[in-house]
Amino acid sequence: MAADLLVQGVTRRFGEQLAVDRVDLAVGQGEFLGLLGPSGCGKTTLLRMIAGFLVPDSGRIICAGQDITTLPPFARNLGVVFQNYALFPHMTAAENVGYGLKVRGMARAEIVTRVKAALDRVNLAHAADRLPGQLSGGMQQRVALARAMVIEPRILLLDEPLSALDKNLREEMQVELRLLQQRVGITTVFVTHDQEEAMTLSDRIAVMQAGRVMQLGTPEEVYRRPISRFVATFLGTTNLLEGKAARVAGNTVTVALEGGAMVEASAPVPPTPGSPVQLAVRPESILLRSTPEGVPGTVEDVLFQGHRLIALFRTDSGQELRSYMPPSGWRPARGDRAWASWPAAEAGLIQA
Amino acid sequence: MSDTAIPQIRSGPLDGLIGPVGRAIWGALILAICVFILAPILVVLVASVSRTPYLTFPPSGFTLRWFTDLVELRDYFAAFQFSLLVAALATAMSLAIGLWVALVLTRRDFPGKAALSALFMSPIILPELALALGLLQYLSQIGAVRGMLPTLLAHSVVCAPYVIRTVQASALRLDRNLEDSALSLGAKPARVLWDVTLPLLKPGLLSGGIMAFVISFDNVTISLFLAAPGATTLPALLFNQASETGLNTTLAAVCAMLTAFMLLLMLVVERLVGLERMATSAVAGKR
Ligand SMILES: Nc1ncnc2c1ncn2[C@@H]1O[C@H](COP(=O)(O)OP(=O)(O)OP(=O)(O)O)[C@@H](O)[C@H]1O
Ligand SMILES: [Mg+2]
Repeated sequence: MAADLLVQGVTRRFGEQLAVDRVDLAVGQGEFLGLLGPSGCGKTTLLRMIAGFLVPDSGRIICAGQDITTLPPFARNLGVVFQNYALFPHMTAAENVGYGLKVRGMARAEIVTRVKAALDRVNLAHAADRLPGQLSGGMQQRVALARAMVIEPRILLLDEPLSALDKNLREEMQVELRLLQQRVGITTVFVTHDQEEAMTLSDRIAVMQAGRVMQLGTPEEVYRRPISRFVATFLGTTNLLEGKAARVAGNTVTVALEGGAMVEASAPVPPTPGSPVQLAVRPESILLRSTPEGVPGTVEDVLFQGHRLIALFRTDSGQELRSYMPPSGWRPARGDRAWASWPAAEAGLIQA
Repeated sequence: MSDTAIPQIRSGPLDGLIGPVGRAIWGALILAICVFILAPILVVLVASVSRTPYLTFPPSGFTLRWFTDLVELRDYFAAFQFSLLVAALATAMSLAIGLWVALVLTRRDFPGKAALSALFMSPIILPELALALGLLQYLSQIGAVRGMLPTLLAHSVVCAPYVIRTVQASALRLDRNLEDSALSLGAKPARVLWDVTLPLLKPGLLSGGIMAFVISFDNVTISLFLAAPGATTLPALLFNQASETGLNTTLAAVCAMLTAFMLLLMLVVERLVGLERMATSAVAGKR
């Protein structure tokens, strides 16, 4: 996978505030990269630097082999969609979509054909002559997308494009966006603070915190094997178990948990043997059984939720665990002795 | 419109406090204020048809002579043309300065911005007399004392703050992402200004421009100080005439025509701005 977009050591301050801190990213040709993080972590700032609206204090941005760090935005040929769509309110949908072609000096007839095709592609041919104020949120969203894509940009940059839509429409647009992106095969950077949305859409996710990329990987990797406490908790409910790296063999680490149980986990960057570590395990990966296999403990409570049970479990060493279990099969009851276990691939190793 | 306005008045804040008598007094007060505002204009209008060459009220007899004596009116007509020219040019200059200053003030952050902003607004508050005297002094230093150019400059100084104010109000509401979108679509900054920024600042530019025009057209103080032969605005000329030869009926006739012109202008503007407002609110209303 050739890198289409390279971000190298990019840093940006606003006064004292460090908004983006030494970020490195490599986005492959046709890849859909999600930038995920809490509010204020620097997602928009990073995107604006890629788009050219802001210049980094240091670092480089390379697009299709060309250093574009200081290239003005109008010379970059990137498609940008904002959270509020930013449609020109005094132009019709068709004029909005055709604007990028018009400023390129394309012939009128050619513009008309391309605008029509672009609006068709987002199922908005019927709304071509309406002003943005006369379009629903979802329609405005699609016009913005058509406007950004009709110029055949090298990269598509989307800043929380779906966050202003209500839940149903949002899920519909997620699918539509993903299909469109796949069909066109355009390299895309997508900003969101919604972890579910990021996982649904992205080929890979960069999880950001306080201006830094904390982890970069496929949705499965970052969800199942987070490498930091922040990533583990930001992506959903998780169990954190204290332990020590007992043995390290390549990427496989044997962890001695508090209380003595030994479990395996894999880490992209192995810890030094003997150092304290944490294991992050999702509740749905934790299996409670009545046979002595795994970490021993006591069931403190069992909550029935219809599609699943939530079992609250305390290990003999005093750590609290939460397990989601199917309602069928063995049902623990309050006060039962039980053993907790999980597949090694479902544990994220966190180094302090 | 009026259907909705009436019940609003009836359920106004004074409703519980005053009875029918109170309401009658209230009505009379409003009427008195209207009369007080309109009476001087009406007096001049009515007096302008008097047969007497000096201004009297009530008028004695009826004639349109003062409106049709073109020899008498020649100077006034020249002054009127000069006023129009100055007002038009001062408006254009105010728009150019006002647009630039308003954009800088709303978009850039720099030390001393508040002070600078206050400075730009000062011509609205400071006495025009001081401004006119200062300008006269300053202009005499650089050799150009009176006439067209000094008048134009001074008018622009007085008018620009109004444009700055109204454009600033529009610019604050303008979403910067719109301009960024245009940039990312390949438009160079000048093109973005023309295609996106200016059309969206139109309400501010329009109302600021109208204010600038009226203020320049109406101005007496500055025009008086900087007037030169052949470069005297109509208000300045009227003032001079009134103080030199006393109030004659020609003055009243000129005032009547001026009033008619201003009314006509306001009608045209109301048509333009009214339509404009309807168009923009139609877009905004559906958001
Ligand atoms: N123009 C600016 N001037 C000063 N500080 C800024 C500016 N833009 C962003 N910041 C600061 O930089 C940090 C990162 O902001 P940014 O908008 O990139 O966050 P974000 O991740 O996009 O957040 P959100 O999810 O709320 O959109 C924030 O602390 C913000 O206050
Ligand atoms: Mg943001």
